[in-house]
Amino acid sequence: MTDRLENTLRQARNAKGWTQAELAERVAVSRKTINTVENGVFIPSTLLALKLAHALGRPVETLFTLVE
Amino acid sequence: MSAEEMALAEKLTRRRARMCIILGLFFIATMASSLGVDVPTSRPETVKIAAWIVWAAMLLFILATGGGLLRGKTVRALMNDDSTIDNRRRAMVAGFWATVASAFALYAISLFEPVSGREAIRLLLSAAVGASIIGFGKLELRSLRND
Repeated sequence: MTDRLENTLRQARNAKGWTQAELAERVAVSRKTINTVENGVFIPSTLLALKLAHALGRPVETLFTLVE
Repeated sequence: MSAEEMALAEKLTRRRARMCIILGLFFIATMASSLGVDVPTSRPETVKIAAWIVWAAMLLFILATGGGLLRGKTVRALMNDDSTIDNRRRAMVAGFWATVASAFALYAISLFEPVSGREAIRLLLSAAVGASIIGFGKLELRSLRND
């Protein structure tokens, strides 16, 4: 069984009206990291996923979901 | 962390990615131009071999540390954050497979043509370093691209 991780990071960020750089600054990572997470190129660590959820004020499971 | 530090880190990351590709290609070209030289007998050959050794050490240093050592702690951390570490790991895996492929090729060549130990080491090290550094540069540039 292959699981795929989908995320709604871009939508959540846009809802806040933030740029990738602004979100990156809030979680202390580079804009590149935000870009790769949004595009599904990079699967973030648990720590980064929790930081993103905290910065966006959403539960982490609404940002990242497993698709079978 | 300021917006200026973020912008500087991104600029340096982009520059590093481009430099990795350029230096990696130059490194392989230097190696190719001195292929077949076991023990240097002339000054140009000695220079080529010496340049290759310096390139190899320098590229490995860039790959291992990510560079930016003269920058502040924050900028350096941004230049070597999660996605960079992931790209570096993937590039090193590519380097491993390039080395394995080169070893197979080298073994096949050695059945028909004598290959000295020094030549074999240079070929394998070039494959490992070259594939890793070029791969790292390409992955970093791809990560920086806005899709």
